[in-house]
Amino acid sequence: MTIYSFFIFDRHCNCIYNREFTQTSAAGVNNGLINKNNTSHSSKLLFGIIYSLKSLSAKLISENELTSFTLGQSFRFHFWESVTSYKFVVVTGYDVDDMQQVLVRLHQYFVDCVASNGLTPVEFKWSANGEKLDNVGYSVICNNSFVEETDQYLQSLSIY
Amino acid sequence: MSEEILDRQTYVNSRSLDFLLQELIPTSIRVSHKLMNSQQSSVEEQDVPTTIDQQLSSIEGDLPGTVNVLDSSLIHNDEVTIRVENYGYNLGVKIAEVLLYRAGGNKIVDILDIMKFVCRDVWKCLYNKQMDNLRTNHRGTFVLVDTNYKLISALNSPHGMQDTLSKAKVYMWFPCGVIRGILSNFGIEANVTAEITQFPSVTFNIHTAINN
Amino acid sequence: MSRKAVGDDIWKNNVEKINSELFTLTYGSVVAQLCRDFNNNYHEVNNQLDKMGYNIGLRLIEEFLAKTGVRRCQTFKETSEVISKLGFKIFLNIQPTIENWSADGKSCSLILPEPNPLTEFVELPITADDKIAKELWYSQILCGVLRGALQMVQLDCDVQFVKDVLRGDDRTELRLKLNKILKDEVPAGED
Repeated sequence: MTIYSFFIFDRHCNCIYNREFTQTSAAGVNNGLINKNNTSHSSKLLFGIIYSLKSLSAKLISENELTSFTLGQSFRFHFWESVTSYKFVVVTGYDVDDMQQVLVRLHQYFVDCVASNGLTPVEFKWSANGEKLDNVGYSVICNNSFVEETDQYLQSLSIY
Repeated sequence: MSEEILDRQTYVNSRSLDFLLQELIPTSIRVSHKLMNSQQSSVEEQDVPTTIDQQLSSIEGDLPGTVNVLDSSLIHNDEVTIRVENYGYNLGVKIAEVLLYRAGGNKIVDILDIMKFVCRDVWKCLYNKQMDNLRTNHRGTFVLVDTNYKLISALNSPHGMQDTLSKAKVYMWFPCGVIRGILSNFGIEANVTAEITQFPSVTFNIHTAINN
Repeated sequence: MSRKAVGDDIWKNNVEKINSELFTLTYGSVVAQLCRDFNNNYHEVNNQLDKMGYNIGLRLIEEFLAKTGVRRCQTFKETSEVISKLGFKIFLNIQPTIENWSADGKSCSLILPEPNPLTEFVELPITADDKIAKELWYSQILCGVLRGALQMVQLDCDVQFVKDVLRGDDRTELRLKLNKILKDEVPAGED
C-alpha cells in the first residue's frame, strides 16, 4: 500500500501541481519530485484519460461520478473534482480502496494555502483571444506552505 | 447613534473582512498606478463590469485571479504605502468611538490605558485575540507584539520567504494606520511603524510626544 | 435538512464571527477614499469596487464550497437559492429574497435586506451636485463577488444593481442574469 503521486489540474486542463513520492526510508519534504512533471506527456495523458472516463461514465450512468480507476494490477488512480473544476488525482497501489475523504481534505489545504493566500494566484495560465499565455513564475503551485502541509498530511496516512 | 442601536450587536463572517482587507493592497497599487499615469489612462465614462479575460489595470499581467500586480515596482512606492496606511487610519478614527462605547467599564485616564485599550479591546474586535505583549519606556514609546498576526499569517509566496516578507511589509501599513487613527481620536499624534520580527510574529513601534 | 437550515447551522456553529461594524466601517472607508482619489468620478469608483469584488469572488467560492460541500446545481433557480440561503448567510449573515423571475428562468432579482453589513448607518452625502445619487452604486463590490464566484462554477452571469436604498429607492435590488453555461475546456489537440 503506497502513495505514488499527487496531481492537481485546473479548469484550463493544465497540471498546476505535481508531486511524486519516491519510497525511500526517510519521510521528508525532499522525498521525491515537486512540479517536475507538469507539462510532461504522461501528465497530459493522465488528464486525457480522466477527461474521457468522466464523459464516458456520465453518458453510461448519468448520476455516476468517477472516483477511481485502475490500469492493470499495479496502480489505482483516485479522482475528485471540485465544482470549480479543479481536479485532484492521487495515484496509489492497487489495494487502496477509497480516497475520497483524502482528496476532499487535500482540497481544504488548497483552500487554506492557495485560495485564501493573497500571494498565490488562482488563475495559473489564461486565454486571451484564444491564446494560452504563460504566467512565468506563477504557472504552478509551488509555495512552501502548500507543499509542506500536503506532504505532511499524505505521509501521515497509514497507506503511505 | 442612539444607544439602542449601538446595543444591538450584529456579526459577519471574519473571512469576509479578511478577503476585503487582502484586496486593499492590490487596489491601492491599481489606484496609485492609474492616478500616476493619468495622461495615458482614459477617464471612465461608464460602469464596466469585470470579466475574467480583461486586465484590471495596465500593469503587466494584472488579470483577475493573478497576483502579478503585487510584483509591480509600485508596491514599495510611497504613494501606495500612504494609501494603505490611510485606509487603516480612516478605519481607526471611526472604530475608536464605537469600541470605546462597547468597552464600557474600564476608564481611560492616561496613555497607558489607551495602549491597553488597543491591545485588548481593539485587537479582540479585529482579530478575536489580544495583543501578546506591551512594553513601554515610559517616555512616550510603546512596543506592541502580536506573535501570530492574522493579516499576514496566511501569506506565503511561491517565490520564497524573502518575497513573502517583502510583500507582507506593505500589508503591515494597514494596522499601523488603524493604531494611528485610534490614537488620533484621543487627540494623540503618533508615529506608528511595524516590523515583522519572526514571521508571523510582528512588532508595532509607537512613538508619541507624551511622557508617561 | 433544508438549505436554510444548513445555512443557519453553518453560521451558528462553523463560522468565526466579528462585529459587523468593523466590516461596515472598513468598507465605508474604502469607498470614501476611492471617491476622493478619483475626484468623485463615480463610474471609476464603481469599476474599482467591481474589480475588488471579482478577485474576492474567485477565491471566496473555494472557501464557500469547502465549507458547505454543495455540489453542482441542476438549475439556475437552485443556484440562486444557494446564493441567498447559503452564500449571503454564511458570509454576511443576511438572507436576500429572490423575486421577479423572468419567463425563461434565467434571470431574477435579489432583494437585499436593509440594514445590511455594507450599508448600515451609511448615508450618501447630500451635495449640490446630485451625481452621487445617480451614479454611485455603493455596494458594487457585491456584483463583482457574485460574478467572479459564478464564473468559477462555469456560469457566465450579469450582475448589476437596479435599485439602492442609499439612492433614495424603496429597496436595494440586484439583477442576476445567466448569459450562458460555460463548457468544460478541452485539452489542446482534442476535438
